[in-house]
Amino acid sequence: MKVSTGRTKRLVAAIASVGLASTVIMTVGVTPASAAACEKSKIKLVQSGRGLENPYYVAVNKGSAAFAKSVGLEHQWISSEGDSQKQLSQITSILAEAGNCAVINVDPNESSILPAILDAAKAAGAHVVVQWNRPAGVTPLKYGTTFTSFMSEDGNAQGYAIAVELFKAMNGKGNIVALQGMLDNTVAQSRFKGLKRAMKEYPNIKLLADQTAKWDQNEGQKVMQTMLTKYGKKINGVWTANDSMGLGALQALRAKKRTDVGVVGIDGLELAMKEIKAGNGKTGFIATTVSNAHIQGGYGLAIGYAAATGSWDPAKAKPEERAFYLKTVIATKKNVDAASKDLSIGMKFTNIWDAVGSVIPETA
Amino acid sequence: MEKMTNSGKLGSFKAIISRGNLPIPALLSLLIVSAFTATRSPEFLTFDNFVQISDQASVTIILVCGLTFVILMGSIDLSVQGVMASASMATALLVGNDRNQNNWGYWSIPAGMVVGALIGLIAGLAVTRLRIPSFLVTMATWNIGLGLAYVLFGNTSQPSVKDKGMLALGLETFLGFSKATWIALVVVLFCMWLQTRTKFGRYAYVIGGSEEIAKLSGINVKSFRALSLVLSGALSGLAGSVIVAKSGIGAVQAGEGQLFLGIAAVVIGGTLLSGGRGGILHSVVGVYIMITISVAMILLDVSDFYQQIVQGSVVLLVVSSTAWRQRRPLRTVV
Repeated sequence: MKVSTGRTKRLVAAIASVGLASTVIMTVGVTPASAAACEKSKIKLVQSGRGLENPYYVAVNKGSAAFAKSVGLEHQWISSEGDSQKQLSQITSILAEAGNCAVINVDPNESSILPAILDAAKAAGAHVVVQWNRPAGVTPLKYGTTFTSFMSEDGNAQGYAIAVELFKAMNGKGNIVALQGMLDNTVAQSRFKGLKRAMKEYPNIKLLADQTAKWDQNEGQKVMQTMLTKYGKKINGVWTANDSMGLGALQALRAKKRTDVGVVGIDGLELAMKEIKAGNGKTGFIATTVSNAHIQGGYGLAIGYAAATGSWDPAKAKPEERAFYLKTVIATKKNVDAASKDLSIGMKFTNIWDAVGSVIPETA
Repeated sequence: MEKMTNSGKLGSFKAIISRGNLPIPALLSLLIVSAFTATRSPEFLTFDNFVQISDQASVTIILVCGLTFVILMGSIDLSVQGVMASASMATALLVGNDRNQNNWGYWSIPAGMVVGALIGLIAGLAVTRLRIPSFLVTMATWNIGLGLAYVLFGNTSQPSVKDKGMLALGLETFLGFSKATWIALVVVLFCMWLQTRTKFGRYAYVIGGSEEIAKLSGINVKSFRALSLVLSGALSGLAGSVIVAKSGIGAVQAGEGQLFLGIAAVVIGGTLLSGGRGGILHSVVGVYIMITISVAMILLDVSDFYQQIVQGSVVLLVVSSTAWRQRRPLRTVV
């Protein structure tokens, strides 16, 4: 039995208008929720990183814990385990639960996942502080207050500073080899640029070869092994873009009894500090950077917390409060004892801008 | 059935040669890659370079011996990196280290092998009793291995080896070659003996060639397949322990990159992923080819940006030449 066409038309019209109305309501519903100030008890502090099997993230987490304790709250650690999609879904779950009172300090697994994370946070009205990675053109000033702050280390300054320590230990002349990080990482590229900049100031230092060892200790050992086969006694110093590769290179040098060669790295790993302390300052592991991990964990949350409670307004902030490089501090035999203590102990957050080293230019 | 007049390792060599199971195409490829590099790099044809290449190859050779038996039977073991991770952590935490009071010395190495064998046993039982494809099972045990390593790592510091004997094992040489190379040699000889002198080895070819025929002949396919996964686990565990000696630390990333390297080496060597053909010597030559290529990249100062392209192209050429004779019935792994 056919339904009369008149009734069908009216039915269709009714359904269509309901559909249209709900679409309009839903669209209105997903505009960014107002970022009203949150009271302390509602704030959810979240720290997102790769995983706690990495000593760097252990230190980050300790920094986060120190801040949380200082304001009488708990914080939550979530591991992305190198999976960008996992990181995104973990964060969206937390946003669904905590809404605009979520403070998320995130180390994006890849810069490409950041826009999705920011969009989700914007819809919930939450605050996101970002470490290390962001895609070109996506900056806190351009995106808005959801992207509360961005902090990173100045790779160029780090690569330069450790290179200078190496060259000083080599008395300004000799040959070096360089182990780079993964070549498509901005941090790897800027650290290498720092090395090149230092080399301009030391014209008697020659770079024999540079190869990537992919940030990995075993790979660093293998690459160093082959470089020793090729250049042998010609090598007087080794520059590595991170301590893991540096420690691997050190193993390769030890296997060949090359105790006359100095190695420098970046990150301030506990093992690297131990090597520096046990060394003589001229050979073996000579220098590394003091890790800012605890600062990234603690101050990242502190800045987001200040925005969430309303004590600081990102919209009216200075440029260096929205995007900044952390300070670069070098650890050598001279200051290794002080540098290798657990720096998260005794952290005070009275001035949340203590961490700022220098502003990151918008074009970076 | 050939008459085996000699016993022991020499007999195994003769058995392989007389049966014609030599990896000729793989050896030719190795020769070509080496010759090419030698003409352009004076350091390549040195004894020291051979020692270094063998040292870099040692860890992969150990695990590839176990992987070969699994693949010969037509299965696959993807859990290599996870097993190496747990074994590495177990070994590092049992040998004299800076995180606890344990002092097992060299016994920490068999302990690592036991950890690997247990993970392999789980895989073996799942594949043979529960009938789940080895591809899926070993992906799961890969994760179990990694997870176990994370648990052992905890959230404190990275354990570093303090035991002098263990550190010496990683750094010192014997008759010019690194001790890790000697361990790899012993493993290869043992597995070649397995391949030629035991039912396990000989039936592996039958099972891989045709599981149906093997079953109908009364071969206990289930037991041998499970055993191959246990052996693969144990040898991956040994590889993880050797890495602890070489690097001086226990790390979850101990096995990073070894799965690709291992499987590529097995394929390049001439062992079919579908099983039934190839062998231990094939895989060892395959590892040498892979390591020689990566060493050559550095000796020839190939820019990092081109290394991936060059490496992939060379692998493609080598695999094509090795698999040339088996073009027609080429099947892919289950």
